[in-house]
Amino acid sequence: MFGKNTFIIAGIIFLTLLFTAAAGCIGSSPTDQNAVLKIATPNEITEASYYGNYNFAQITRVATPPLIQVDENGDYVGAVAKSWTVSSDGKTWEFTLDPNYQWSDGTSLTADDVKFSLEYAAEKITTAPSWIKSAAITTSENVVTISLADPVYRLFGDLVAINIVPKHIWGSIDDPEEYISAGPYVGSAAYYVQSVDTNSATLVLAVNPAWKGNAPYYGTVELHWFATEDAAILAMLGGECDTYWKYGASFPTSSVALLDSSEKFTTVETPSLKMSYVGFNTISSDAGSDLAFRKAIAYALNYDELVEIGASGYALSANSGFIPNGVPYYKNTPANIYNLATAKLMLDAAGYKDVNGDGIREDTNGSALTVTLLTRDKVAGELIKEYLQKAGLKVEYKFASDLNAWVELKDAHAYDIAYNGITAKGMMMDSGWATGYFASNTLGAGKLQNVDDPVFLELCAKIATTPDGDELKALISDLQDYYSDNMPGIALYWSTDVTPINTEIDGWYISKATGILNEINLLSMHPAN
Amino acid sequence: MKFDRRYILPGLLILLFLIVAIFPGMFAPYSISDRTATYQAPGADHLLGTDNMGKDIFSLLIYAARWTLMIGFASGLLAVFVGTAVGLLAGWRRGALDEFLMGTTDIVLILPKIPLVIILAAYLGPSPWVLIFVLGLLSWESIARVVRSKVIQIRSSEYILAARCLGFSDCRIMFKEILPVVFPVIVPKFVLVTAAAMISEASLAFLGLSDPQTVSWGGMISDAFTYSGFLRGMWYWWLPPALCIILGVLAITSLAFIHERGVREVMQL
Amino acid sequence: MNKVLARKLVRYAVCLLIVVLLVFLLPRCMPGDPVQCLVGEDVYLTQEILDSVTAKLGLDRPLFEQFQIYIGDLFTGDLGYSYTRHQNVADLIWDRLPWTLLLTGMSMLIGYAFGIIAGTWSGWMTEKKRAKIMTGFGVFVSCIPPYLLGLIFFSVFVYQLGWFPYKGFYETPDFFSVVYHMALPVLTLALFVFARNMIIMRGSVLTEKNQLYPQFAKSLGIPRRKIIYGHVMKNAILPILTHFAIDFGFILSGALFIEIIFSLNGLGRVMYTAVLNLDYPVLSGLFLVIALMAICANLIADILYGIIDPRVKRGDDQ
Repeated sequence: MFGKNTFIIAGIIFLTLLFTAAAGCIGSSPTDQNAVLKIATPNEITEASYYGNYNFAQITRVATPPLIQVDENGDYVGAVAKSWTVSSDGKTWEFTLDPNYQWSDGTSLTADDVKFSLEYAAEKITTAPSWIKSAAITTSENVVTISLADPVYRLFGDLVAINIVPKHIWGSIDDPEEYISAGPYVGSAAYYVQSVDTNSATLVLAVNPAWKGNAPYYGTVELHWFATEDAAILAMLGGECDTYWKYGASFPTSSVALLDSSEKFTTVETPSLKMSYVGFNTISSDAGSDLAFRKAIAYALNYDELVEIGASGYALSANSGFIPNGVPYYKNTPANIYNLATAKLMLDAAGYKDVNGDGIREDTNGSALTVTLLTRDKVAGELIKEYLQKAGLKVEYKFASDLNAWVELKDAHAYDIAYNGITAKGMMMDSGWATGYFASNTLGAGKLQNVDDPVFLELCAKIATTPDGDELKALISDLQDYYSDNMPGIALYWSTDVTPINTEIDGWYISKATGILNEINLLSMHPAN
Repeated sequence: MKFDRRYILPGLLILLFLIVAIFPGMFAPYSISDRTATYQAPGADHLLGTDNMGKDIFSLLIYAARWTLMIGFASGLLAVFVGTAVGLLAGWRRGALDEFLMGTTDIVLILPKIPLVIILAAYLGPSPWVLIFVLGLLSWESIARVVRSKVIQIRSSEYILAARCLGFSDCRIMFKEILPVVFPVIVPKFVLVTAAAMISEASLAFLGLSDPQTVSWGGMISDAFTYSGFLRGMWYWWLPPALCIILGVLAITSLAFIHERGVREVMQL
Repeated sequence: MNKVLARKLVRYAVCLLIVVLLVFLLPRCMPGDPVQCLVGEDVYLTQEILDSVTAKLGLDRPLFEQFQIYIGDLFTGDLGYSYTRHQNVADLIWDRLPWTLLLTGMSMLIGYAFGIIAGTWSGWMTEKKRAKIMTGFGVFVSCIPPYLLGLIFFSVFVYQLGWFPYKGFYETPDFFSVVYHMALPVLTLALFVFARNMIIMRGSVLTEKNQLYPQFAKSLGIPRRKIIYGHVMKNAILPILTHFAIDFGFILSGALFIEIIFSLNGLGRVMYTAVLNLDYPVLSGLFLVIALMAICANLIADILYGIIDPRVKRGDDQ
């Protein structure tokens, strides 16, 4: 397509030579100080601010890890904490530290550092979770105990985002969100941040000499960020970078075809926690609060086409239980089926008949059945609009061009049907299992909060205060039944995450939360053969 | 005045664009809501292939002419309207009013247009109307200047003096006598504002500051980049709208260029 | 101080006032909560912080008092605070400004130098085929949206041919690395500057050519090269100066797009990020600074004009 074969072949020969040369050095030390792994990313670090810049915080998670991390299955495994216990009332959490983690400046990582990091986040960071402010944290030798005022069973979802930082460095920094430094930043994992430069758009991770765990292969890992996604992908395809990473996101699905046609890259597809759905205004809309109407609409949406166009085929059609099969306590419910004839019959049966024969159904008052469709996504919005029109509805299309317009419209419940997306993080927000997107008593810009049914809200409250186990499993089963029976929202598709794999590198490990940029992967990656 | 043959080619091109913009249905094989398989390569069914939604790119190209030309010409008209009014007034009345109006012209000249459009679009939401108003209301300064100097030049000429002596009202003299004389100097300025607005539309679309509900050439290029058209090597997606913009602007500017015969200030945008 | 310059200064002051008023009024006249319009959309702030913003900017007080506070802040160099980036807007802009000025400055230097020379040449040699091709090329380039040319150059020279780096101002902060990294972005932008100035210069030379003095100089036996580049060019250059100010705004806007394509962390990127995050304090601050730079560019052009053209010095009005 680009006539680049010669370039690619030259690149492969060069890299092969490089790797054979590198392989010669492996015998003595497992780390090759000269080996560099380059990662391209569209997540720019606009300021060299550890706490102030969101992307910096995500990237440096591999250098100053939190207590725990997410593995390839979406389960929590240890990072700075080797093991942990929780009391039966969910109030006392004990973490035992892993002695492998040592600060790169030679200082040892102590329970005091952990206590400091949690309290520091509570005090200084605006986005810190609320439980942390009222928690009492005590230490004894290498054990940290968090005592909570109220039980929080979904504590880990928050802990994976709180980095453990060195007290002897940050203790003297009063306003961490404004603190800017080009590095080095003292780290505790296999790598530490050696430098960060916004002018060259590069962050360099160097091997931590004090690290006591397995030695990584690459002496240096570099992150290169680009202003556009296209530039990042071209840098990878052009051989400038070895792989691609984007926080919490798949490789852009519409570009996967490029990887398939490249000799150097293959792809790995993993089920994601992300999904797309339409929500109904069950609070103030006549049609939206009619269950028969919602169920009819579920037959009017062309799910296969939504997968094909909305996700370039990298998604699964969903079922009526709403939440994807990768989520804990998933239960099988009937699949969503597209059948326009059934949808029309059901609308007729629900009383929305086209009496005057103008092709548009009338509502129970005899006026044209008009639904307001709210969307922030151009492609999905246009498709859904078309499906609704095919079912005989008159659609008033409201496109929110920015978050501000969206928040205003959805907070005013100025819609009947709204298209929205669910993120992996959002899936587990509030009471979890996507409830945060529906419950009218939650807060947040990305959520519709379109259900005020007391049955649903009570279910959410119960889930929030129930520890993992059979009781929770039963509640989540009830929740999926509620989604399936009441259809406050219809899942359009469950996304698939696509990760590009450079075939010249072996040992890939893909975390469900952070993709390839995770500690385990950095330790296991090495040149192929 | 002898007809210049060099007008023919650009003139025909603009005429073609205008006809296409007014009657897109006559030229487009598909409507903009028709969909088939996505990301098709050019072929007999789809002259320029299909886009990420399976829409016929050639048809989109034709329907897009309307908004792009609309933004261009509407900005141009608005600029002509304001510029001519300011120029006429300043040149006819002179004195304090002239001073004030020309001062305003100086100020308008300085305001950086693209950053202003960006900040307004961020607050008000992207819409072609914001673009038209900002570009139209900020691009009249060169029109005002040429109109003013032309008016000053002819206001003391004999036939205007004669008209004044006959007691015709200022208004009548302006519309009947001065406007026809001033008209030829306005035309090239009008087309230059139009051309600049078309380029600006494309640039803002690239920043994501175009209304997704309107199909425009700039929006098409921006879509091609957003949905991997550029990476996939689908030149037939982004190049045709790009060429349409370039050719359109080229035709429009060359009209102005030929008109002024390479006289200076031609490219004063 | 001459009269014309004094009058211009008044106009610039009024222009600045209008820009300041615009930036001041826009967030306050928007529907919805002015606090949200002043801190930006994509941030989550506690009520205490919102209250402190309200108190600091006096949002609960009458508009005129708010304006007094705002002007006071501006005079102390306070352009507001970006809650998205956790930085003072003034610091943020000050940090990035040199790089954008380097990009625009280098492009203008190259574009003006070659544009003026090529314009003079093609204006003098209008009938030559090469001059016609040159003019056609200039018109063509100026009809391309800058970002599009940048993208095509990126695809061809960076990705396909691998002649230039993918991103950044440098890899290691030394002179040669900066030159290597800035080369393509500067050339792209310079091409536009070149095209515009060539066309203006060509038109200007055409008018000068028809005057009597070049013929007179020729009859005196002065070499042609000296007539063209010594006398004609000097006289024909005035329109270039008139356009300098407008061009400056245009080139700066062009630089914003070029920075995005070549991943250069200058003001353009700051603006792009601010647009994506609806970071209003940064957008307002940037607009203010860009307007101020445009005014300064005008002022410089006026002064240069006075030096080159003695008629202006005498205070004549055209």
